[in-house]
Amino acid sequence: MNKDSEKNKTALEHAGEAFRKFWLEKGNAPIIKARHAELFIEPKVFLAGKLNPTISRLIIKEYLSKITLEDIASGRVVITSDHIKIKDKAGKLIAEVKSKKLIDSMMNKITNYLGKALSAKKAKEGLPYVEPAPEGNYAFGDIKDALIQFLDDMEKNDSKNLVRDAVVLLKKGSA
Amino acid sequence: MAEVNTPTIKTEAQLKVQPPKNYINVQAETHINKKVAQVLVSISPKIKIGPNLLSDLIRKIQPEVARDFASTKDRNPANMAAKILEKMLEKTPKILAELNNLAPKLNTLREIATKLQSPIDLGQILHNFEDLKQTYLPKANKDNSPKPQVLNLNSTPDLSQVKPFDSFSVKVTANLGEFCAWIAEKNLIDGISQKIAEAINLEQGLLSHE
Repeated sequence: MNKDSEKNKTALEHAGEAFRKFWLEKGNAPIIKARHAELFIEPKVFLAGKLNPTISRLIIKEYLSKITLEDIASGRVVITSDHIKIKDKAGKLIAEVKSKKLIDSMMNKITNYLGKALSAKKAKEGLPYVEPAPEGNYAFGDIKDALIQFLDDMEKNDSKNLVRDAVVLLKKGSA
Repeated sequence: MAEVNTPTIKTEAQLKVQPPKNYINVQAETHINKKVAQVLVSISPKIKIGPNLLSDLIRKIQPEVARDFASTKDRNPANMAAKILEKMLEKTPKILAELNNLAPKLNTLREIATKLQSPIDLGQILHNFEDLKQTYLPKANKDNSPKPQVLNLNSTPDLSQVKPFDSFSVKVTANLGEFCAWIAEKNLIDGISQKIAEAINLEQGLLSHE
């Protein structure tokens, strides 16, 4: 491709290329091996003027694999058992995830973090909020009561988002 | 030797076909590959199959379809498409489930195509084979598979039951410019910068100019 045609590309075309490249790198692009030919399938980047959902899903998955506790504490990623909401820095909703698989995987991650943190914290009676799990794997059901107790002890009993509030308080405590 | 034409198909998804290694044996086969792939690719977006399932399907049905085509010598595109769709219905529980959801309100496969609001491709493909229902459904009823309920034409219509598959339950609510700006902020994709995001906003006329 010559320099001029590269220059004349619109921003949308540049973005399209970047999306396509991203999909090829991260999307496990399938190759169909027929006897005498190989077919490479790429999703079309834009469908009816919108980003192909296969690609946007991959981007969201990539982001969720990288989120930090900061993102949860700041409210940019809100995780509940029904959905995950992702917001930009101005608080505008960027995407909503309703995939059970993705929600479960995020809930597992955060539950393990909360479980570990709560097992290291002692309640008023001097015992840890949660018994340490042998391999650091906790189920949300096991830590839920401890979480409520912890928020009560921290005088945060009006919590509308247990996970977020607990992360904020635990982060403060460990800072 | 005649010139080798590398088949290139651009439909809802893009296919790139590498040049055949052995021209003499290949021409018929790549023709079939291409047809099978082309029809599948054109059908796939609206029946919600992603590229992975699509490639599985092509692998699964290609040999059978190729055999059928070779034996009948039938190269009529509508017949080929009908055959391919029929094989897909047999092989793909996911598609069966989708059709099952839609079926109560529908009378023919052609109507399914319309209901799925496919891009022209699927409608066109199905246009010429109303009789697929007659040829396919009785056969499906004889099978032991869960296919009998697939097109239950007499039950009460209830399209509210139609839900997108789990893999499509990620919804980006931002417009493309905002989404790109967020991608740039998070540094998720090389080549998507704030500059690109702003330019997309401008191209789409989304920025207000004070």
